Amino acid sequence: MNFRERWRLAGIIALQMRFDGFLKNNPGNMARIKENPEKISRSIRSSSRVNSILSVFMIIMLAALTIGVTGFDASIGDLNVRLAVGFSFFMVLAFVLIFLLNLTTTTGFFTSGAMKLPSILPLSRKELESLAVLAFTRVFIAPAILTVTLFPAACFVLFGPLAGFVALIGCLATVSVSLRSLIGFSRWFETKMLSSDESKIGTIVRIAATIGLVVGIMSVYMLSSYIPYIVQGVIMFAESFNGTYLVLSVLFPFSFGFLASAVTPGVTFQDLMIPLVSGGMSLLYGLIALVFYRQSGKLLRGLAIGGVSTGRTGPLREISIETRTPIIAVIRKDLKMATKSVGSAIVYAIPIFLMIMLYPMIRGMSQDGPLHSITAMTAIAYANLFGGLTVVSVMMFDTQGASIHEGLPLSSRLVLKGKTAISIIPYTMTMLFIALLLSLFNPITPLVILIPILAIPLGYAVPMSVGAAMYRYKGGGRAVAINLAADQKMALIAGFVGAVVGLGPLLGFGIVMIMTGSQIFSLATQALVTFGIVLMAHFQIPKLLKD
Amino acid sequence: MVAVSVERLVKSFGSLVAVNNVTFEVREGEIYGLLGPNGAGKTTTIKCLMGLLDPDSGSTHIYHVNSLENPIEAKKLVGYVPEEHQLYDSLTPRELFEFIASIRQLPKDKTNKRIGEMVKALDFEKYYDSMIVTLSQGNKQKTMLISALLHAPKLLILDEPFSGLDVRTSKIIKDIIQIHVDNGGSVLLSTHVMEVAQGLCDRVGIIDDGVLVGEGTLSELRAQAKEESATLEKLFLRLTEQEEEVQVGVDALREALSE
Ligand SMILES: Nc1ncnc2c1ncn2[C@@H]1O[C@H](COP(=O)(O)OP(=O)(O)OP(=O)(O)O)[C@@H](O)[C@H]1O
Ligand SMILES: [Mg+2]
Repeated sequence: MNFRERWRLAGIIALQMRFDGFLKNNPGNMARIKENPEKISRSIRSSSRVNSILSVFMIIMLAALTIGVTGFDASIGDLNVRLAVGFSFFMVLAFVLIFLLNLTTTTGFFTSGAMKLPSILPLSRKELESLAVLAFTRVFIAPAILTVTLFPAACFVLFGPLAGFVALIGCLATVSVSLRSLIGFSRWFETKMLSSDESKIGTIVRIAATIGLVVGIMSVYMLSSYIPYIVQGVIMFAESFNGTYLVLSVLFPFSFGFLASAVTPGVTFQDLMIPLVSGGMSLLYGLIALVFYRQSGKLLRGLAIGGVSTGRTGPLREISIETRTPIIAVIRKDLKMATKSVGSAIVYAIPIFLMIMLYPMIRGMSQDGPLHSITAMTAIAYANLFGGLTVVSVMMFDTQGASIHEGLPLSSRLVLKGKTAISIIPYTMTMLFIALLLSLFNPITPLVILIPILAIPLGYAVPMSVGAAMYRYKGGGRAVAINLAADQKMALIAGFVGAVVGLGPLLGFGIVMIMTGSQIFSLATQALVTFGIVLMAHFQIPKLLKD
Repeated sequence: MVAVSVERLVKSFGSLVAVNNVTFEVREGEIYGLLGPNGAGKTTTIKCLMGLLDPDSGSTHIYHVNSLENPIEAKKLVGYVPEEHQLYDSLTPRELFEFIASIRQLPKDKTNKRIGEMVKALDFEKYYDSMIVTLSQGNKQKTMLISALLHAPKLLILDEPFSGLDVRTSKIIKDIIQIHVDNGGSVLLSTHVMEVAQGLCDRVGIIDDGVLVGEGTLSELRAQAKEESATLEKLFLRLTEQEEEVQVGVDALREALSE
């Protein structure tokens, strides 16, 4: 088989991998695929195209932003460190980006039967192995190629050929390292996730890994607004300790960054050790990257023969089971599911994610003087939007269990109550976090901190309303599984409904504030409207549902 | 007493009429087989009966409970094994059974005894604590079956219960079905395996393109098709008007294979 043929076949396998990965993440489609295969495969193709376009776009933006900030924003540090930190920073981000954006597909690679298809063809083992490698390459070739061309090319033009060359080597090494970590992590992750290990440690590892992952994925999408802060932060941190730069230049990928900076015309380092050390370390890391590259090939080739084994071999325990009340059973089931899949862990991660987002906002607002109520209100409005998304994420679990759900005498109302109960926790945490953030940044009166506290009861009303809206819209009032990934429109609706429901008390607060100027009256209004909405949600919403 | 009654059921998807004015009954203590080629409307009929789809017109009852108006009550009476296997992939069978038993509010001791016996009979101990996603097709089917039988339902509704099962498990399921009716329960199952239907079902309904084209015991169907001692397969093909098509297809195949 010649290369072109293999490349084409690898494309088919890669598509199959995406397909499997997609189906696995959105099992709701499994039932529908029979009815409307074209539509589903179209949506998979378009979503994987969106994914590639997104990665490409992110890398271009990252490159442009890092170069902009570090090359030309003279307000941050000296040119030499700015360049060094900037270069390194791009590599770190490219690593994170390649790693996280491709993780779902890659995990699919290990479990999906994608390699089963070619293995029944009359192909030699060697051809199969090279197919596995090629298929993998095809999945994330776009961001990888962009990483190793765009940024080094820009450096070449802006900072001279030598800097461009070092950047190229650095980027190649980064891609290789992220490839290796991606493969290693996916294997480990898939084994851990699928092991039904019930020990506490196992659960903790699972939760930690998923939260880290989800927060990582989400923060990638909003890193851009942080670049100046982070670069500045690193430089400030480094400058407060002597010798930090030297330490940094030992570390991957900073060695490449410092080396690239050192060879840029017009840049000098007073400490000669820095260029020397970074040069030596760059060489070492280059070699390590080469080894990693080889290892990745080997690991992928191994796949051609068999995937990860996830079976359980343990002593058999008692067969008897425990029963609980229906509502507790619904909640327990959803919590168990949440600890076992990446997408589901969003539920836990949302408060953390919101904090990452709100911190710079509140900090920014506090720089023009003491914080007013409007800051608290903006933060709460964001939180409500995400509150809507939380409950839909919990609804996603049901995509997996349709066959079980269909036969169970489980009322839609009970299902929604269970989902609401789970969503209350992150909502409450979010509001407490907001209160904490507000108190950190000099509020104009301590009463401002009360605004998010008073919003906590909405943690009941927001998920109830959003959930009911979803069930009405998708299932005609029946409890159905909602899939955010497959159905982005639902995310919009959820966010919208969440925000609108949460807006009532804030509007009440605002209007009374404008009319009376009294914080106390405004807070009282907020509390009253909140109470009204909670009552409405409790008594009216169940009427919208049917079984 | 009638276990299931479906009256003048009509359900369409857009312009496609998937179930067209279907009427039949499952009597208490009998095994009723719903037969039909792929896409005939068997699953759609069953889904309407379970209150999962809203029919365009007609009514469905399970032990006199209207399953459209009161699906929760209806589902309490039924053990349902749907055609697709969408179980909670990341739970283990144990966790799944705990969930189901809790939702159905089953008494602990009795349920545990039942589970223990079923797990043993189906040779399922090994998989009891493995994540469902790692189970084979047949073991998923067993999980579904145990889930459906957990509450000792009076009526079993099984959509294609024999797909993907090995000989031993098929036999066990046939026995389970038989024992279930011997104890006074009723069964509604859909299948396209003729031998199963002929050997197992007391009565069958043959459905084609959404229309019930024949119904009754084997001898009643023979009388209807004016074919003495015909097998169910032959009757099926005759009633669904596929007899000639199949012959043409087989002839073409014979030629193709002999080359
Ligand atoms: N949700 C749906 N939307 C559109 N068409 C549907 C839907 N569900 C079923 N159909 C169509 O209705 C017809 C009957 O389908 P049904 O699943 O009831 O057939 P079946 O007899 O169970 O077939 P099989 O033996 O293959 O399971 C088919 O043509 C099917 O494509
Ligand atoms: Mg069917």
